[in-house]
Amino acid sequence: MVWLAVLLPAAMLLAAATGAVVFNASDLWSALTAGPGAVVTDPTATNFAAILWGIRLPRVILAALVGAALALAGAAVQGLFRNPLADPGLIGVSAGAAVGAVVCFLFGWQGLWGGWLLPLMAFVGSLLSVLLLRAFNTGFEAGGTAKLILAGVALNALLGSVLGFVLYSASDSALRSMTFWTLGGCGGANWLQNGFLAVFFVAGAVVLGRHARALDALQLGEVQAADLGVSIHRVRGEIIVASALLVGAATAFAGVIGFIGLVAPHMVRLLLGGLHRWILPGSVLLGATLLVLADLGARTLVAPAELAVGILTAAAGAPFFLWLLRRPSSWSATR
Amino acid sequence: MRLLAALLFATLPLTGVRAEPQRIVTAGAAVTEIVCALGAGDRIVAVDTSSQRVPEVRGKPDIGYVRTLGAEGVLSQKPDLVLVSDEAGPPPVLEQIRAAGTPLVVVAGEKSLEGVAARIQTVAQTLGREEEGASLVTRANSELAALQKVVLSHPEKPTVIFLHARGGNNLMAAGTNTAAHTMIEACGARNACAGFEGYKPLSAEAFAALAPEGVIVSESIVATDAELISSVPGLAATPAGRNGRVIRVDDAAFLGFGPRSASAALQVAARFSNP
Repeated sequence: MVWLAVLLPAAMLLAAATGAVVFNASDLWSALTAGPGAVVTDPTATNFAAILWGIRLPRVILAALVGAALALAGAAVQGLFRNPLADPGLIGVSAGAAVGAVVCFLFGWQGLWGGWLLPLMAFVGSLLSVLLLRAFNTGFEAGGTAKLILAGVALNALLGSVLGFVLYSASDSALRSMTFWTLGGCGGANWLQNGFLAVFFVAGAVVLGRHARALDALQLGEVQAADLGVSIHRVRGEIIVASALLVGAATAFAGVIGFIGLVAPHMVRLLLGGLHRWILPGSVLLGATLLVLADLGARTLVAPAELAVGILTAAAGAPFFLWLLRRPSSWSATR
Repeated sequence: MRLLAALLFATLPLTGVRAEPQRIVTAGAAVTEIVCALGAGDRIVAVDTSSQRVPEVRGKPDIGYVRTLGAEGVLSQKPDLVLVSDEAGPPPVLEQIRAAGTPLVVVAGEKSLEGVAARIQTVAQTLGREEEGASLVTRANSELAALQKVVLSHPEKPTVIFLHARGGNNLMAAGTNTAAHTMIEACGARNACAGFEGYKPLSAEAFAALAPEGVIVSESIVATDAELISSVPGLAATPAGRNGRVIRVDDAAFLGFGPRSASAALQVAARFSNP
């Protein structure tokens, strides 16, 4: 746990120091000390301070926040469904956010409100998908977890077909924008966006943190958890809403990024065991680290061009996922 | 004194008295073509992916897809001017490039043959090559006039379909609200696919039912003229295929509304007007 806490700042430092524009140590130091408002007097020199403060640091922080949010939601959803293959997308939130965003592109509104309408519509899409999930499940109170998963499957199918229809109706230029948005990316990050995302992250983290013990109890089974004093229905509802908030906000600002929510909690369980008071914060740290490093790869591997970060997380996550499926794990029982 | 010199340097771009840019980054094939046509192609240091097909800049560092540029990637090429088409994005990235102190100019213009002159003028002014720009505009306008002549002398408008491939065997036809639609009408023809908007997949049956009198095929589908008719399923059965009124075009020239667009339209109009 301690070295997870050290790994994240180290990764962020590496990511801040590395990028398409090459910084040597003295450039980095002078850019750091110059601060965000530095005025450049020589127009032919590279403006290291502006690149560091205006482009790279916001991007690294966005990657950390998004990675943390996705991993935390993933850990909570895996705990809730007692299924190590669960992913925040299971409850349909990422699909909802994607529908919100592509509708925005469909009408060409992505530049409106200073560019804020796009993440807003994506976030509204994710909230609507939670409401739909609740409707499909006839409320979060009734029914068991299996019913909830099936409701999620139905919701994903519905949203998938809506998404497909919107893609079909789109004009050529909108279609291209949609495709790249859904691949995910941390480019164009700014401090204001990060501030909003941080607020949502803290809100979601506070709610989920309170349910760490309840999640532990749930691993024994719902009846047993109820006997231990966990209010199942309330806990289930709060976890879903908090996870939706986290995933919705992350997807609104960074597009659909897969596998972080699936992979990070697992790696944490392998390292720290099964107690959620360690899994939840561990997932936050490891998820942030993973996405920061993936984003670093995305913006340096084919520089000066960029890869969509979702490609890298899937490329790294898929083999891990297969390995997970194949090994006779002590934690892999699906109930 | 040094403060004065620094202030002078900082305000130099605002006075309009600027040195000619030595390191240009362009995004958008039409913009790249215009810069090369104005004789400044050797100053280009990096281009976007769609511009890689322009022979003069092929092989230069690639900054990625024009709609999803990366600010740091562009800045890593140390440009003193970034020229982008109006499709460039995402908008926050363009802002970041400007905020880092690098001049970024969006070359806007109507998506029509008439809009080409405006684009040429914007680029010429930004580069300080107004003379070369004026002669390029004159040439484009005379090609446009020649096109109007051909169109007017053949009042019958054949029905035409524009076919484009989007990866694999997916044949897409151009409906309204596309560059291809504008060009088809400029060539004095009618778009047989005006019933829908944007690019949509066309089944071989629908293709036969539309019975186009002329077909324009993008180079993305077939590389040589020899395989032209055989490479598109259903083409041989249409009036266009039977009469040989099928022509292959270079996407960048035909759809880009750049310096080569008027001559591309002229070629197509001439081909379809000859019996």
